[in-house]
Amino acid sequence: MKNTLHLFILLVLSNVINAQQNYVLVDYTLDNYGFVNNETLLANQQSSKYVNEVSTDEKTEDEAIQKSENDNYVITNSSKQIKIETFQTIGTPSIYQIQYKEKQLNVFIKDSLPDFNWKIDSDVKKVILGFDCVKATCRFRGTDIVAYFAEKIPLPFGPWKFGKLPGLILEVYTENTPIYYHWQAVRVKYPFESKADLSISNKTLENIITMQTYVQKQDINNAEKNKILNARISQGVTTVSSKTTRGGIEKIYEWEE
Amino acid sequence: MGRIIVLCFVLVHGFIISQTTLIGNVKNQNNDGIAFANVILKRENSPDILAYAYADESGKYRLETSEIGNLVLQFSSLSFKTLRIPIIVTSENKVIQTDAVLTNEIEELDEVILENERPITIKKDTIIFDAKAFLQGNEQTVEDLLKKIPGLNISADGTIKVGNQEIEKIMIEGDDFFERGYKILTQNMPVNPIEKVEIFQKYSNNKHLKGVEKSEKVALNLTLKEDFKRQWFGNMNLGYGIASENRYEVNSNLMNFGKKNKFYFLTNLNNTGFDLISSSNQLIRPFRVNEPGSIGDIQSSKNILGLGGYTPNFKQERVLFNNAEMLSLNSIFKLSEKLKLKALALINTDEINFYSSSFNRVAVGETFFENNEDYAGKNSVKSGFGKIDLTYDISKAETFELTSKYSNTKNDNRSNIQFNNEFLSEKLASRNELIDQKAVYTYKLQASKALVLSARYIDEKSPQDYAVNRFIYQDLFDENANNLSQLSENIMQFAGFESHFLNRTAKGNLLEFKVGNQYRKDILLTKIILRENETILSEPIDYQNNLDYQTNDLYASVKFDLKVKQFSFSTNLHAHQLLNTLETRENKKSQNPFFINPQLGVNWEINDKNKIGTTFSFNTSNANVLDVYDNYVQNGFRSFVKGTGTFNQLESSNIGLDYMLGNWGDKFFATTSISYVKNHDFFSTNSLLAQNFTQTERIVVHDREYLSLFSSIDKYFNIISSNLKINFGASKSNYKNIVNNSDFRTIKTNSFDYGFEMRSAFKGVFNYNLGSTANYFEVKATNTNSFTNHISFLDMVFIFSEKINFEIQSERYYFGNLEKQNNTYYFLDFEARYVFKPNKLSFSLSANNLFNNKTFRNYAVSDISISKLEYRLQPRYLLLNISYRF
Repeated sequence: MKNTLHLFILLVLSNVINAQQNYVLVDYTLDNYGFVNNETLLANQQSSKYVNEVSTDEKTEDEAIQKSENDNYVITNSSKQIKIETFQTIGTPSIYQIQYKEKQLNVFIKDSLPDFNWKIDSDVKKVILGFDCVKATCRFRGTDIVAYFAEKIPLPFGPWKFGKLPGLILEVYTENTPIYYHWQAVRVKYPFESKADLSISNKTLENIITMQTYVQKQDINNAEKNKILNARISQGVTTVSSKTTRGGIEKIYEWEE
Repeated sequence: MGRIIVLCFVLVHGFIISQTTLIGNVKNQNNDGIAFANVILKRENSPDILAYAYADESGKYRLETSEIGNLVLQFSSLSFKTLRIPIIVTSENKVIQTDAVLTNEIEELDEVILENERPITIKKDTIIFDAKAFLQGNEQTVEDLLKKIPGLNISADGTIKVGNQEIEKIMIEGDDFFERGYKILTQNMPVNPIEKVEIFQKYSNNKHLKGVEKSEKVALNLTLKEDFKRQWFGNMNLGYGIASENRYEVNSNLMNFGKKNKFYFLTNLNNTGFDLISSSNQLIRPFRVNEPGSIGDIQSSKNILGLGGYTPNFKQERVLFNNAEMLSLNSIFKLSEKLKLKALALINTDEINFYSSSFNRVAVGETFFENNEDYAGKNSVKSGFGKIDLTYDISKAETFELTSKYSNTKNDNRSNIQFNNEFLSEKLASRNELIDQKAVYTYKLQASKALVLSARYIDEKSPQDYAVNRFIYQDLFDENANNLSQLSENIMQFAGFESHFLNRTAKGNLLEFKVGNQYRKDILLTKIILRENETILSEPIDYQNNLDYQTNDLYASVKFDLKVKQFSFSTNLHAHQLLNTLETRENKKSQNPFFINPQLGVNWEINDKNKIGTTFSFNTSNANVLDVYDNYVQNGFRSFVKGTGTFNQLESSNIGLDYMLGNWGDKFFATTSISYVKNHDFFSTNSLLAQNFTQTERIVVHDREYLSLFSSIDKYFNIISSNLKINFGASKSNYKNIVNNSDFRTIKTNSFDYGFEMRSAFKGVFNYNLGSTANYFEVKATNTNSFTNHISFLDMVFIFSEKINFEIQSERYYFGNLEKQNNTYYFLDFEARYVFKPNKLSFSLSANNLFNNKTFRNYAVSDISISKLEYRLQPRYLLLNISYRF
């Protein structure tokens, strides 16, 4: 048994332990086309909170062209996204995201995810951090996704918006995309003592906007930015108004199909 | 009605696939429901997951399956032991209830930390563009694509800048062929294999210095689509003039970019004004400032003479009469994991014709004369270049690089001049031979410390042989000659060694030390020969140079960059101990001056929207070979110059200020920069003007000042989807010179220019770009000369579909000081493109100079003269272009 090689069953505790206090902490690295970011999932049996803190130790200034979550490119300056928190709860179809931005109001988003329609391919296995993981694939908002989940950790969560598999996702990546995203768990800690609250405050819920509204706003914003850039190209250069394409994972939304 | 359909569906469905519902409760030993427990249905003895669900808050679960047989339900939840309960599902079972009682168990998941196997390439300074998103179908070359990428500026001559910074190189799949000669690639390579364009900011040419050196450098990398890797592909463009005489352009590329070896072969032939020489010059002599390992980059031999043939600052295609051929063969061989060999060869030929005529009126004090000059010239260029670059990675932290270059260029110039009533012919044969060897060793001591040792040897010769078949210099030479010739040669040898140590401190501040020695020896030989027909009459002694000028510069420098909150400081001290020797026919002298050049820069980022940068420096520079020779040389058919005949170190102070409001991508964005230079001493001129010649001597004069200001404002208007740009520039200078034995004349110049530009970003078929600039220039000496010019343009683009697009460009030039009938010029160009088969075959038709302007006049002023210059233009022509890719 491979599992026993890596896993040690250490303790059998009595009922005294309150299950609610036991959390799982998973550290992931996201390799987004060479940009490596360290991210964290904190989950209990019911909910999860995924924190994607963008390292901003080196500021790109001036007309620096930055990458952002949803776009292939954005030439920004001010509003830098510094942290995204994603909340998932079993039994609720929607997930919640809080985007913390530098020198700007935070954005609260409610995203009613479409069905992942995961196809589980139990024949393809992989050992990640000592866990036997099974391959699952799906097409999520226009992008082909491959995930490996560990049955051994019976939580339907994973990095970013991914989840709803019969086990925790320890690796997930995009396929056939020029700019790839690749999340990989690098550490799993359980039990993990925490008093963290994995639910969203009511105050947040008051200010929430739907993903659809958010995307529409972003699209308008990006189109305008794109226009500003096009209108500033130097003379003699033939430009034809360029399209803004969504270069991230989410390319087509359910309501656009 | 609806109910019946639902009912039928359920019946039919149930009949075909018998669906079984599995339900139950997941409980703990205290009989409390376990919320959100995980339930998985599997086949017995198989890991395949048939169905899965999570229980609700009270521990109830529900699963549907169409499988029958021996199955297993697997229950798990955090802090409980996984429980497997076998069940048997038959086609009769509709609902099966299975309750599970799980026992507590904390199964500690050991803290296994995975080593990330991918190389940690934290490329925070990389920006990636997906080529697809920017292609609109009218692009042919890589340059066309780059023009569309926001943030990249591509100038008319193909220079690529990110912001104001010229890029270092363009790599393909991480390998670089051309360094600064990247235009060869961007202007020739077809765009279709490109998948992504990556911009590396804060780039280091030396991989070990990434993150150590302070770099504002930018480089591009092109990645290729999978289909184009490891296979031969290429393209062919053919253009031929229709309804016009013999115009053609041919451009073909053949390439293969494998993992181990890369090949890129290209050729370009044209007579449509597409300049190939300037891009190869940048390949032969890349120029990097202050970069570790760039020792000797600024060293080159000098040419004494150039024949007329100046072209106005104007679209090259309008004024360049060329016939160019270029063949470039490039390969990179990865000989082993550690050893890489790069081999380049370039052959270039060109035949350039120049036509101009000028009117020049000189009025200085008592001196007054007017000259008319008609010039027709031809320059034949042949050049060959080869380079071998060997890179050896001794270890992970050490690299040794050896570069050898050889270049040989021949220019054969001929011109016919009608000067007033005289007819003259000039001949000039120039040659340049360059041998260049460089070795660089880099050792990265730690993540933040590096040592770069570099050595370089350069040997360059530039001989010139000049002859003019008429003698119009009777006032200069007391000989009865009827023709003149000049032999000249500059031989330059350079040898240098430099050791450069960089240390980035934990806080990110950078400390650099540099110690080195650079030796340069110049030999300058010139001789004017006066002849009557073939007979040598005289070789006047005042018109000969035999100079040996050697400079040895032993130097040390320390540089410190410091960042404190919103302020960043950069201080720099360069200490030089020179040993100069100057040997002429008559005497030999030497000097050994010592000086220190200090420099200070302060940047203040007040907030996100307001940034100020300032620089102060004091600079001492040593005279070069063309400043120090002591007898006259002829450097144009009517001009003779000579240097100071002695050593000079010139001193200057510089102050600069930049202010930026907003950022480039904002709706409103403005920049202003001011710079002030005071030359405490500078090379001015003492000239003797006569109708047939000018004789100029370099003299050292004190106190020259130059002040300039430039400001630009960009504002984007949503309502009209257009950007308005307003520019304003002004400059002022004053200096002194001597003309015709005068006292020092004080010369003041003023210039102003202002203009606007408006460009649309409409979504539809049509877009426009229009603008206008006015330029005023005046020069005040004893009297004042000035002019006002206007340039306006209107470009329109029509994109009807991905297959068909049109572009119309129109320009208007107005010269305020020319006669009314000749002071306004209109130009109209047109281009249409049709894609027959995407990525395979396309056609384009371009019409140049539709108004068929034959000539173009300029007006210029200086402290001694006004001039009108007339250039011949490429007449109207239509070019049909076929582009085929394979």
